[in-house]
Amino acid sequence: MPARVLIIDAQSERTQPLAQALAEAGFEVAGIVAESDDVHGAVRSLQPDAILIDADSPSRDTLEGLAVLGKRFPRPILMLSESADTDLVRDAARLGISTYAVDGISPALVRSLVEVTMAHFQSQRSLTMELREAQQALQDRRLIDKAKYRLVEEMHMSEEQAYHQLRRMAMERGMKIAELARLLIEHGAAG
Amino acid sequence: MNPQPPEAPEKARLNIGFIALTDCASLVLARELGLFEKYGLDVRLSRQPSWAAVRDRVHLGQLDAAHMLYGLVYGAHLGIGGPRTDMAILMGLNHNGQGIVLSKQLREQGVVDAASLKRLIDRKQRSYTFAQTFPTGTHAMWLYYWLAAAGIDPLRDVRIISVPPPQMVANMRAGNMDGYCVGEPWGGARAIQEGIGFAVTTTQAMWRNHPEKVLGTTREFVEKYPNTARAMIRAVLEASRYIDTMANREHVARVIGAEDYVGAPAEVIAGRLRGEYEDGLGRKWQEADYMKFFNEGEVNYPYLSHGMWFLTQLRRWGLLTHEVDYLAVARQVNQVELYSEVARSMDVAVPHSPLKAERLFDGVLWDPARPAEYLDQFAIKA
Repeated sequence: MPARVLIIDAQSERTQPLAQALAEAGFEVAGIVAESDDVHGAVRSLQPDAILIDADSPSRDTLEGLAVLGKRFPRPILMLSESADTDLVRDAARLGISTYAVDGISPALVRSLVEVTMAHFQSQRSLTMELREAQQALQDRRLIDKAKYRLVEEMHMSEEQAYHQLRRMAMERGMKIAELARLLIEHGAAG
Repeated sequence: MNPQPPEAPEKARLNIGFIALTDCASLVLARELGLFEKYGLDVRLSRQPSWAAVRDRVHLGQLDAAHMLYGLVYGAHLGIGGPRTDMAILMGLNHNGQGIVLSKQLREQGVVDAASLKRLIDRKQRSYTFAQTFPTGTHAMWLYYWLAAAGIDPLRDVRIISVPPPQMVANMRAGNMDGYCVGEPWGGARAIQEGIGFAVTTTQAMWRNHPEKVLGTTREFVEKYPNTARAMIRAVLEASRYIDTMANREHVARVIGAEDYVGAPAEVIAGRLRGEYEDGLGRKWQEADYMKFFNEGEVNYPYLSHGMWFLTQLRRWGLLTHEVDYLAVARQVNQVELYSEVARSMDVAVPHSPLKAERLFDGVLWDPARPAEYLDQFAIKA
């Protein structure tokens, strides 16, 4: 019988493909519930073998309350028996995935569950990271421009002089230009 | 001039976790008053979404230390309901300031105290649900103890669920539960303000100056970074002293009320910090045993008898399924020597004995010299 997995996640755009990936790997997705749903009731009625939940979900404490009630409820898994697996579960925790599993489910099955989920989340995450990096670069650009024009106005420099001045000050202080630009904007050019 | 600690911290950059509750105040103030910096620490405070996340992240080293429920530290140390790792309590963070709230619906059915609640539950018209914040936590232990003292068996007569503190009020409003135990500002203050329930008891009325939250970490951390642990204790102890000066409490409420910390109106936090209490049944009073953070060091000294008491309750409710040497386990977890060394160097009083007998509201004496007998005399248990 395939292991029955419950997914607790409010972000349906990433949950549906995850459910599909799990089904393809041979798991039965017992249900998907949002964090705002009755998590306690869902776990009691669906009786999953394992639960995948966002590590930042407040509903985790509700799962903890169930975990002490007996063997039929999944318990939080932070490490598996072999050391390589421990790293895997740690990595999953860092990626923001928490896993709960009943005692009877084999470590190999938990490992496979975590692997499928991680592979899925990693691809999602790299997309988010790229987007975030692009936004950061744009924001840095704006800060540097703002600081530059301030120097142009206050110190009567040319744009190029102002940029070189910013770069020199940042190097002297071992800071990124954008960081220095932020300081200048916040505290004025005097410092 | 800043006094320098005797030895520099082995690890200066720290990530310390907390939950959005009034009793995280000494960590927040240690940071906001620059006390961590003063003792050579560069601390990032990181608000956590659940107690489970706090436990896991301390275990994995993603958090170096955290604001933790007393019983949770012992649960993690013993591997109750989850992963096991050797834990350490560096110091107590607060006494008092939690409460049990019952719903407006129960009030409408004539419930005003524990005895009337017992009579209603005995009629068995329906099932009743009560919430705590974590299965091995302090709120679970206060709730179970209070119910059992009234003759209500928390494991058989009612249904228990765990709900994170900031969600208690919303869950009660939605009718998901009949009562709950939680810390301020999500306890009495908010429930009464929103008209969804009343405060049937404060925890200080159950146990005057009871232990509550602690500064917890792993034993591995203490062994690897003893100077860092001392510096943390020093900074938080100094912050605790600041908070217990009544004149500072308005400032404390404003600082911790901020969105990044507790995220609640400063006035709601400040009232309770000043000891202004009401129960939602028309009674208002000036509370002498309001939330304390220092009390001349009495709050912060990690009494072994407090750790032992939580162990007896974990055993009582079947969470700890085997017999343990209560004193030996408390000695492993509570860092009495480390704390005492720092406290003495700051002229903070250290008691003569780490064991203290105390009497709870039901008249039962907790004598740490006789934990087995203490446990035996409870009629209601797992």
